[in-house]
Amino acid sequence: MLIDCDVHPQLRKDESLVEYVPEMFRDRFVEGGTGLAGSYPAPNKGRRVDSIPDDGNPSGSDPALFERQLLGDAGVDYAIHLCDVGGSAIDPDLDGAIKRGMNNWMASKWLGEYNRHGRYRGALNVSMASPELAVREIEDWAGHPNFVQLLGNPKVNLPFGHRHYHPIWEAAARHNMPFSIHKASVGLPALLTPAGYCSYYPEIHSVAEPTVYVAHLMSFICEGVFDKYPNFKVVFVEGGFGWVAPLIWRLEKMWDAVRIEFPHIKRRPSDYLYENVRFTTQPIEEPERRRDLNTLLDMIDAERILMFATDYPHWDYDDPQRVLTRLADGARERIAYRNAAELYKFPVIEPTKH
Amino acid sequence: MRVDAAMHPVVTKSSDLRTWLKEPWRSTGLPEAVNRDLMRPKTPWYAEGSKPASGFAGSDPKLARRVLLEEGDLDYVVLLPLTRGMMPNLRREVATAAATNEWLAATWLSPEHNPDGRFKGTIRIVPRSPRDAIVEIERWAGHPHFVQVGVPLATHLPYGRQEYLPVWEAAARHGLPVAVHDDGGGIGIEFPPTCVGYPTTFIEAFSMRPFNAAIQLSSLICEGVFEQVKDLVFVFADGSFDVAGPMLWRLDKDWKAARSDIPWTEHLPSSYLKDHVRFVLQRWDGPGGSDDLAKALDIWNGAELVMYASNYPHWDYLPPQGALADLPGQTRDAIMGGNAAKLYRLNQAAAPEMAEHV
Repeated sequence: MLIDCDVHPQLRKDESLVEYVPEMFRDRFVEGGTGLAGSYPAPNKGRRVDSIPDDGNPSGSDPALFERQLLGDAGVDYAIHLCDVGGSAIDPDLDGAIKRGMNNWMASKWLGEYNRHGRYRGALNVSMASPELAVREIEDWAGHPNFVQLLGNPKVNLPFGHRHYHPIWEAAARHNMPFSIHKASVGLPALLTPAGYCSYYPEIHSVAEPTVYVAHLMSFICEGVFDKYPNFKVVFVEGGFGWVAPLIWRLEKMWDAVRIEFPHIKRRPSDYLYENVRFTTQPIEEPERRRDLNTLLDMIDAERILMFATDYPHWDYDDPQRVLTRLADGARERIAYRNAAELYKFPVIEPTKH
Repeated sequence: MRVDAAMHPVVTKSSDLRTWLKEPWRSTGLPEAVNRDLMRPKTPWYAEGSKPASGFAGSDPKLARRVLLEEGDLDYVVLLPLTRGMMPNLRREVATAAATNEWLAATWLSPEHNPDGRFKGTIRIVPRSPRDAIVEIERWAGHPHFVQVGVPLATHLPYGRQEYLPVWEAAARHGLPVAVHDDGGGIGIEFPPTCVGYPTTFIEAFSMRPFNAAIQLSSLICEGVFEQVKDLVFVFADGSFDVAGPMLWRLDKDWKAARSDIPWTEHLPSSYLKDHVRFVLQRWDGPGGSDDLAKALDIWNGAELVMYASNYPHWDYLPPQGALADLPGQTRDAIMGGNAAKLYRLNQAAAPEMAEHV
């Protein structure tokens, strides 16, 4: 069995989100949001070249090709759709409207019309600019069978543990929806690092973006979010996982030294990591000496926290055959599907003998 | 050979620095020497026993000499004084760095306190003011006991940017590595310590530093600085070998696919480390158990890239006695001093000779 925790549907050329956006915002709606897509252009314009349909529509927009390459060629049983067609806006109301439009489109097309096989699930887009709107979005869609988690833009000005966001985490926990974040390069303005603005895609993609995840992860733990909402789960998508090792090593060592900061936190950082947090594998770390990856994963029991993803149809797609064979036998099943099946409550199809 | 690659000396009291400051800075406001660091927990900020009868912890060269060189059985200690963070008034920041160098030369590195040359110093510069930074490097490069240049971790423009190039060229011309270290938390005009704003707690801000060092490292690599300045070495003095390691796995992978973005970076990003980068090892680096630490050091070539530092007199002081004792012999010896001795060109025999020159 194989569960893919990160795939990206696209709008066809003749589709527009505008008809899915609440009416009062249609005049203000800008296709693609107000973000700057072009600040750090990705290789191959960001997509897998063979995923572009013959009719010239964008990659990821043709349900038949999508299905053939993902469910057929890659052998994926279930896929979680993370929709990034709408971008984001700084104005909370407009941002909320864009998110609502994206959710309407997802529900109608990829989780509806194109999902007769029932193998697609989706992440419900919520605006981080307004917890009030995010909670409303969650309440309005709760109970929809195919929205299985939330998706928020991690590029904010206040780390996610701050109490400003707590109403969102409360609603997420109440409806058993994990909260996912994906990339950090979307939206205006570009990512400002503590060292200043980066110049190139490899810097921002390899190093700066993962530090966004680091900051949020520490914030969730240190602000006691997982104490307050014990069944709240967070999924860090496409931000790497090799760095989780040095981060958790540090936090564990420092915890006793700075314990006085955390009278309200009951358990150790690693307890929350294993219980409340998951990471997707793509793009898989590829050290020059292959065994180094398994040595590292082994040191932090990574098979408990990793979930496989392809990132179809993006340029740095991970082929399950190539990725899963890199992992140690004991870790492979958990990472390929068991962890995701537990988190999203998919029925597990026990592997047939090969 | 046993070397401490980063110890942090400080003035006896904040106003002492005024003695070395030029006017008008001598007579005007100055940030405190020991910044209380945003959000530091209310434990003492210094190690037990490092505070002399009067003055700040780490302000007494005699005490440091006894603790590190005698009791700690170190051959050399590299002094890395902090300055006082990024200042709104750039001229004041430049003057403060210059005064810090005057002070270090006149006190810790003076014949009185450094007769055997076993204290080595760091030239503090303000790289965002390149012309002044180069003047400062030139002023001290000939001094027998300044062995490196020191720059803050926080910047408004990452260190790979071409604006800094003349500064790195000056350092390399004089054979001086450039050490990057957090400057005590700053006084407020640094950008927030994470990409997503201010965290609430000390542990978050503190644990972010090695990740921010990785951002600086990736900038140096992606801008091609190590191709431009062949003799340049950067020392990441806040720890971080274990953070840079996995981050460079990612950068290596992206370089293979996206190198048309950075054609001036001619080689695999991680391949620059051997000749151009060293990491100081603090107690927070690497996994807890010594077996796992040995594994992590093996994965990321610690035996070549990593240098022990005491971090004295800070609260997280790692005493040299017994430090890393459980590591395999060769790796331990390299980290406890071999790598630093090579980088700073220190040798056992030279120590008494140097005394004659001072």
